[in-house]
Amino acid sequence: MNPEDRAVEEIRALLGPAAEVAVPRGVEERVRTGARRWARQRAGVGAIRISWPDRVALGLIGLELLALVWVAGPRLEVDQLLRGVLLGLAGLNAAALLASPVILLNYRRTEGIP
Amino acid sequence: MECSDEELMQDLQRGELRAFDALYERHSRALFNFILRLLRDESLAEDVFQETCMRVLKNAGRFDPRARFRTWLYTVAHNLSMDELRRRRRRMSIPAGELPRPTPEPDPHERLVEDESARRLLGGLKPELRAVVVLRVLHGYSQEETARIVGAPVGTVKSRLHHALKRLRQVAGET
Repeated sequence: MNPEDRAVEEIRALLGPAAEVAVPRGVEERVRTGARRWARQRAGVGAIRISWPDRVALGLIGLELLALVWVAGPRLEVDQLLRGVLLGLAGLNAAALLASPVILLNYRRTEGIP
Repeated sequence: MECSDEELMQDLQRGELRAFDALYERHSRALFNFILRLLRDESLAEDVFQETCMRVLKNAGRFDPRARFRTWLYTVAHNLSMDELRRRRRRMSIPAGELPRPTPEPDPHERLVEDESARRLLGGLKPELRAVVVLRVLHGYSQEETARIVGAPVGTVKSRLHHALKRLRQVAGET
């Protein structure tokens, strides 16, 4: 018997019999409900679906843009607006560039993607 | 003839819900106990177990049938559990006065598990050591499979096992 097997045996003796518990019924029901929902969603995978919270968020963004143009638009020159947009885009790109490897690594780790 | 886990995953990739049911029947109990032993908290274990099952469904399309399903499943569960333990540790580091102290309801299921001496001893181990002990000793996984699940080299798994043994001897000696 090699040292690893001996260690396993000794730990097993120290721990004694380990009782197993069943998955609580409520959890099992939640999982099965989630699975059925997944199957239904998968069946209609071709259609573009936008959930209600997403629609509200998109609407709010649209309103915000309209308000911005309404309030600031007439006072700004076109080149000022363009410069603002370009600076904003550059900032967003830089932030995404810095954050994406960390987000991607963590995503792959928790999803079990090799 | 019974289908292998990997064949069932291929069926699941085609959207067959029966394949998920079969995989659930095969693995749910052992998986739940694995998560419970890692987290040592019934309600957290329930959440992580549910999340693991949902990830299996969500990422079924990404599963490579040449890989071993069981290893993939336990890797996801292990990583989610470790994240949960990290979050809990961070919450615990906030001064106690700033957090309302929850008063958990006594749960007969939990008490049953708490009575286990194995659970008490495992509680004395760091999560990294506990994961190796649970996989190698209680679930009978090989060194190589354990290493893949915990995302560490085989040598690290061996040394964690020896550290765990030393610590368990101490804890057992204290009681």
